[in-house]
Amino acid sequence: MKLLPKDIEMFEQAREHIDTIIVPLAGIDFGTNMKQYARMNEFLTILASEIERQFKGRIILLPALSYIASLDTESRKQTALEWKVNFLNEGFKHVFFVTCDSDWKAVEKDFDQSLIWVPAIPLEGLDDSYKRQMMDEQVRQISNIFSQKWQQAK
Amino acid sequence: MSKHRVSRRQFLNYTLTGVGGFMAAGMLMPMLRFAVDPVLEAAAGENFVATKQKVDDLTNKPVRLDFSYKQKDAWYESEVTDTAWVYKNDEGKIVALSPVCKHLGCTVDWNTDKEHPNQFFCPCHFGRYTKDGMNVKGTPPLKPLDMYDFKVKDGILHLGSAVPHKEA
Repeated sequence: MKLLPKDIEMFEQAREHIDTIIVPLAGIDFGTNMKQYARMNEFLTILASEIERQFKGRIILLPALSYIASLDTESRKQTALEWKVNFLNEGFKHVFFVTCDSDWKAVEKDFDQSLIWVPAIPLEGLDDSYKRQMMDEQVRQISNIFSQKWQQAK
Repeated sequence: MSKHRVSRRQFLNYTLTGVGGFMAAGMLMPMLRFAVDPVLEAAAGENFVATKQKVDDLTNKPVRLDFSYKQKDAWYESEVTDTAWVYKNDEGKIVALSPVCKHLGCTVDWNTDKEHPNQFFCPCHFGRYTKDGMNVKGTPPLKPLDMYDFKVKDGILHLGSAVPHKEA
């Protein structure tokens, strides 16, 4: 579910079933990489909402944690980890970060397998049905990661 | 020839009746059309969306069918894509099931749980449904999957809105 009043009503009734949080990590840049980050953002937004559609009853999709891409990676990493600790303290069992920005790969090990990096595929000019098929494929792969984690925790 | 001469009075009568008739018809026709319109509208029924699926190509194995339509939500018009699981049952009848799990609204998949083949499976809380959409007892969902209204036009499957399962 998303952070919408309608979904939150459902959440309050079935809280014990919803144990996973998804945070998209979205970079912002106004320099030379502006378009590249815009592309990542488009891809990530669609991907996240498709994941949400698939797993509506077990996850909460949060608004993206946005950051200035040219600033140093340490502080954004700290923020992300703080979020994670906070959600775990709230009683959620799994927190996943999803991003297309390869900067995060360098700090992947600090996240203890909760960081999912997906390369952004340019969507401009692609045929609609092809786009959908490609997204489905991506969602399917990420689903496997979730399913594995959930099976482990069972 | 001279016997059937039309008098000026007759000629004027005929033409005036004719023109008057056309004018009256011109006014009444739209009114009549407006009065009848709701009836015609109801006959056309709700909106069915054409899918890409040819009915003849359907088998007894459920296939995933995506179909999209425009939805207006306050000021934002968006294209919504819905999914249906469609197959022909043993009697050859088309069954179109909604993939939305009746537990908490995840999307169910066909035949993905290795321990329970040929069932619809929800990966979130391991809910299961048999092929006809009935929920398996002992799994979280309490209701069977919704079904789509459908109709066949020119051999192509058209899907309507999801309604509660008919056998429930």
